[in-house]
Amino acid sequence: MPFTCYPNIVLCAHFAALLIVTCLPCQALPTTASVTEPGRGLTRPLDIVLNSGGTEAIERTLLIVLDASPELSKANFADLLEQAILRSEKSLLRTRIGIGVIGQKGCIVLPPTSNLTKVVDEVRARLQKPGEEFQNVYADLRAVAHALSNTSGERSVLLVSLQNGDVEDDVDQVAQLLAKANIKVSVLTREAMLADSYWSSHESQETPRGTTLTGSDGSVIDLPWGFTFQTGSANEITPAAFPMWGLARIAAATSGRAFIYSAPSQSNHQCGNGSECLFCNDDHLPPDSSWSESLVAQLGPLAASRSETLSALGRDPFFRALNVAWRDAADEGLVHKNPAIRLTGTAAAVDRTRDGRTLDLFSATNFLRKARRADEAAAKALSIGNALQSELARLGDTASIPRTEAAARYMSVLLQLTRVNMLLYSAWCREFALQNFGKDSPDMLPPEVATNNGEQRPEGIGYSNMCLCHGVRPYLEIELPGGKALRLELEKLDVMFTAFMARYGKSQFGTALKNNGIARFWVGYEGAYVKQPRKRGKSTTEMPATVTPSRPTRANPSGANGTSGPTTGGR
Amino acid sequence: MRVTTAALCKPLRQGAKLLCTILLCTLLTAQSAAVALVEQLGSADNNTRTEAFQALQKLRSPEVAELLTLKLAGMNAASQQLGFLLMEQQSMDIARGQWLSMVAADSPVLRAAAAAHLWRLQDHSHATTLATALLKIPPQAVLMLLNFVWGIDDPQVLAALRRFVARGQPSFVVKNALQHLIQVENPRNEATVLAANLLLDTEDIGLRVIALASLIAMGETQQSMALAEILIAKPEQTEQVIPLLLKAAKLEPVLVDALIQRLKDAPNNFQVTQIASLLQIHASEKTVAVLFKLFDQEDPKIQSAALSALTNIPSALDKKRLKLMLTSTDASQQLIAAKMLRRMDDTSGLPYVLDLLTKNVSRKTEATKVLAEFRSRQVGLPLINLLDDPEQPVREAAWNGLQNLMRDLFPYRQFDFAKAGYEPNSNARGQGIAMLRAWWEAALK
Repeated sequence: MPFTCYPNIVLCAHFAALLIVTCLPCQALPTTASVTEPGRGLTRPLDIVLNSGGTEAIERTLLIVLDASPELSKANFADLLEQAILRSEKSLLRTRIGIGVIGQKGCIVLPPTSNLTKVVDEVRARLQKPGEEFQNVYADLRAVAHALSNTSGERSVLLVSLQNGDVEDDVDQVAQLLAKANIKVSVLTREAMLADSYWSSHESQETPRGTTLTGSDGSVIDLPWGFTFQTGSANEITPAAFPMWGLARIAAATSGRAFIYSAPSQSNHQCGNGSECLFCNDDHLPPDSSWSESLVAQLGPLAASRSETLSALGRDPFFRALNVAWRDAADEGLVHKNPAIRLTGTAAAVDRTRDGRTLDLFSATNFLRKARRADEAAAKALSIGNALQSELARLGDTASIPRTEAAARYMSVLLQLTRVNMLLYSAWCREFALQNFGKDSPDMLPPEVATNNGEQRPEGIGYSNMCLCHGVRPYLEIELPGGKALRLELEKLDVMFTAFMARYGKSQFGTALKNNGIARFWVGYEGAYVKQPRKRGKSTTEMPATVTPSRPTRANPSGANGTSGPTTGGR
Repeated sequence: MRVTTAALCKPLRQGAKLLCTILLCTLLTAQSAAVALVEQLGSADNNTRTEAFQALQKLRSPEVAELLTLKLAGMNAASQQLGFLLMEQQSMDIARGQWLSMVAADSPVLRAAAAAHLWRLQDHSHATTLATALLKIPPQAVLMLLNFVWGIDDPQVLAALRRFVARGQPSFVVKNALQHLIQVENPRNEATVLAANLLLDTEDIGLRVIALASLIAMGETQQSMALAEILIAKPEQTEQVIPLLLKAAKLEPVLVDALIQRLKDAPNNFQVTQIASLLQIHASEKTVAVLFKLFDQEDPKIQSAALSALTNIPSALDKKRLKLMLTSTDASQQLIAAKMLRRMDDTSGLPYVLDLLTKNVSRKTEATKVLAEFRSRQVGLPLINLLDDPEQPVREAAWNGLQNLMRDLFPYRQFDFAKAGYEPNSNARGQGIAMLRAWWEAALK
């Protein structure tokens, strides 16, 4: 039927429905904050799941599904389980406990039993042989759903997986299956990184068949990453305070809880997360080192299905503004990757992660041309940033998801930071590079010496980052290329940085902003260039393909290896 | 003139012979020196022993390890300890070989030391040897061996260590063994709890407090009252128990109160630091209040320890209080406040530090160090002025600080500070200072 043929009443009903859908508050959807329990230990999760405080013994079946990782073995999980069972003796009188192991055929290795000593022994034995392989925990949960569907009484599962929630097949389908079978799934896992982009920037990693690697705290990467002149992505090192989306989603859909574990470690602030600090000797006491629980919770991602999340993001005005700026920035070479979300009308859809434009800024030839190119990019950063800022000002207090507003404001500050870095680069090319590598390099007053001895030929341009842990203002004391013009831009950045930190400093977004840096440029010489070793392994054609690829080690800010995850400050 | 090959070869042969002789002599001299030094290491005289140890350290010869393997058994405990240190300094391969040859030695000390060191080299096959040897070592070598087995979690070794938790053993041995066991055993081992319990009715007060503190560290908090009573009656025992109590997950209020009382009456700065480090975990608010009261003490060392302890307690020193301390008449308080504020990204203490340095302060070196940590252009010239201070430590602090400051304030410049020609220990410093001043003034133009 053509549109014009709709009777008025039907049209009105359609518009009304659209209006209702558009105005539906996104907070009605579950958030990871609403399913995540406080704490980082193992005792409390075990007590809650085993119902140690309960006085009444109800009939139930509990399956503990273990993803036996080295980190879990080290955490004395078996001993703590034994102690928790002893504490919960009364409430477990009518509970049968079984053991499942991720990666085992059919998952269940010890069918539910009332012999709890056997349960502890089985857990202890299974943790003797931890594995490092990528495992699809969702496939095993699917098997568990079928196996438990005929048991009597209350059905619950505790999935203990410190490393594999990022290997996804169809999370939403598994969540529905478990919910339909009335199985309450709680998860004990590690903390994710904020909008983690790691696997998006390491696309060559081999995964088990039919799976993709994700690992972010949200179902989609909703925070821009890969800004030019940043040595790493803040998204890969900023603790999210929440578990990975897939696991949180399963818990949310089945009325379960999500618990985060992290190995006890020294969590004092250390400046320069992958960058250098000019302002202290590792003795910094940042005023916003501890996070605000309520702010962090507000900024948590949705634990709804991926399609529901996309639908909510598509309707969110701040996310739309962010998405436009992100795409424009990628087109101008300010960000390495386009957003993996495409906006359509009032909706959004998952998109292929496409590369942004590449600016040729790293070969040590024709410094003047490179300076001009950086100036153009800096101008683009200004215009995209201005457009985003005026859109944010126009939106004002418009209702939105708090997280997307924070992401949009983060983008605004990062655009100014990228502009500063572009201008620094341009000025460095003009002032330092030309002066030091030109025909007439200047005479230096001792103790200063020339950066180039005149014999070596510049091979390429490199950069490192100087950290923002102390803010932007201290950089006004530092001699940087660019003179007064750059100073004005730094002052503007300082204002934006300070305003952002005043609002989001005590949250994951404040930490993410401080995990970026001001670029410092240098010239690499022939023969002096050392290729940085990869942080994680990558399968090559020389190596035989493995059926279940091993999980490579990934560095994280807490200093522990990749399986333990980050440790949020102040929680 | 015709020169035959034989005629040419003759001097060459002679030369080679001479070279070989020199090399052999050098080798023999070195060898005999090593032999003499190892003999000297076994001396009962402390100075002779230490001199030999230092000389052997410099020698760094693989044959030293061989000689030690042969001689260590006959040496006294102090010499043996130095000998083991020398063995540890050998390369991993040489050391492994020597430890392996020593693991079957007659001396239980050598066997235990070798097995413990092999464990650290990931060879865990000698745990039984270690455990049996530990039970046979003479009393004078016990403490040294306890240090060697620190961190080893083999059940047999731990069982052997538990044998030292007994009456008749010196309290420092019992304390060391219990510290080790509590550190390694997680969850706690009931046999260790039992061993500590058996010491509770001993007459030796030192042993009793160690047993009580160990039990509390292992979760037996019902012992808190007994320990608190002893600490109130005999406060000098506090020092013994702090390292053990640091392992306790929880301290009962009665024990906290006893420790707070001891902190109030702490006889020296060491005890202030030690007790505060424990109490800040369990009762930070009370600890902060007592530490502030310690500022009224006359002993400047106690005041300084209290301030340092406060800096380790998050949020103990809030900005308001620190800013108040900046206006104090006590230079020490001003400096700590300025440093703490700088660490919190607040540079309001800088003028106070600059002002302090213009006066004749007693803490000039410390003030110079605090000043040099500010990344400000205001700091450069004062530091250059301090390069000519009459006191050498001040000059040293200023010179180190200036180098760091220049590198950080001017990240795009490269420096070779040796070219400045300044040396804090030299009497001729004027030229270097003039050069640095000229550079600084030119850079800031």
